[in-house]
Amino acid sequence: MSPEMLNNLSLESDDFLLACPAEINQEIQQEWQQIYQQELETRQTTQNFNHTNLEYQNNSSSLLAEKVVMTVTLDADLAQVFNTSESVNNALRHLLSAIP
Amino acid sequence: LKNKAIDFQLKNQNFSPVIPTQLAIREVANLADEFSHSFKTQIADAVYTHFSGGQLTTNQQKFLRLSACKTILRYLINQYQKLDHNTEKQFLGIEDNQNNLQAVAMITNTPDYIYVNLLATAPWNTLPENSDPRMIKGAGRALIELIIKYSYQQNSRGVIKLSAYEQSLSFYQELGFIQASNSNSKLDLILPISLVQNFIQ
Repeated sequence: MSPEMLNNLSLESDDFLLACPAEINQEIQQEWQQIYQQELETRQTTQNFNHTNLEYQNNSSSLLAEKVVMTVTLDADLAQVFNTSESVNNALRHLLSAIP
Repeated sequence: LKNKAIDFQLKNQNFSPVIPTQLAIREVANLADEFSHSFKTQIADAVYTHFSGGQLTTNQQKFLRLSACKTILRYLINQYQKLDHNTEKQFLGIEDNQNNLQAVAMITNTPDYIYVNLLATAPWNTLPENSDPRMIKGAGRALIELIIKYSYQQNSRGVIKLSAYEQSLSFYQELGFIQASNSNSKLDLILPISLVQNFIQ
């Protein structure tokens, strides 16, 4: 490599010159392994949640046709606002859609 | 001897040699911690891609280097604290025209060569383009030039040896470093004597 090429290299190229003994290289790899495991778990949890949510959304239209009769006791202040089955169902669907 | 090291003229006028203080290295190491924390999500994404065998983008490569840079700088400051006054180890650095420490190394003098124990550029140099006003190119190369000149002055003929951080290997190879003949590791490097003059002239 000529001196001119070296000078150009110093001005134009990124230079990520890091040096460390093998044991530090290994430590960096171990640290990354931990980060990878955490990231893997986070992604799997998110994926499972999205999958469940998607399943619900896909099935919700067929469920709409079905009515399940169940007794839920509302507090007085909520009962004043959500006083029909339709209003309760609508509110809960809004809540579900807001969860990422 | 230490003071002589800062008299060298470097080819790149943006840099000056410096004997870094413990405080200066600590500040840079602390910043590396802060950057790593700020870019935690991006680092995790890059690590995930790396271990999943995916193709790393340029920025993902930079975030991996930021993570490695943080670890090496932490070692540098720990070694500084343990430094024995009688040791052959010492610190050399490069600063820019605003006196920002841009790269730092811990080296060991031997009769035949200088061994670079640890070397790191400042953490902002590992970030994506235009992320930080202190970002500058060529700091690592300027520091290598300084170490070679220092080695030459110390009668080590400009010979330097080092163990490259894995993802920096190609950058060292661009500078002319080759695998040391007495090592099985591709990361153990030496600069051939024939190339030393390119840095000395």
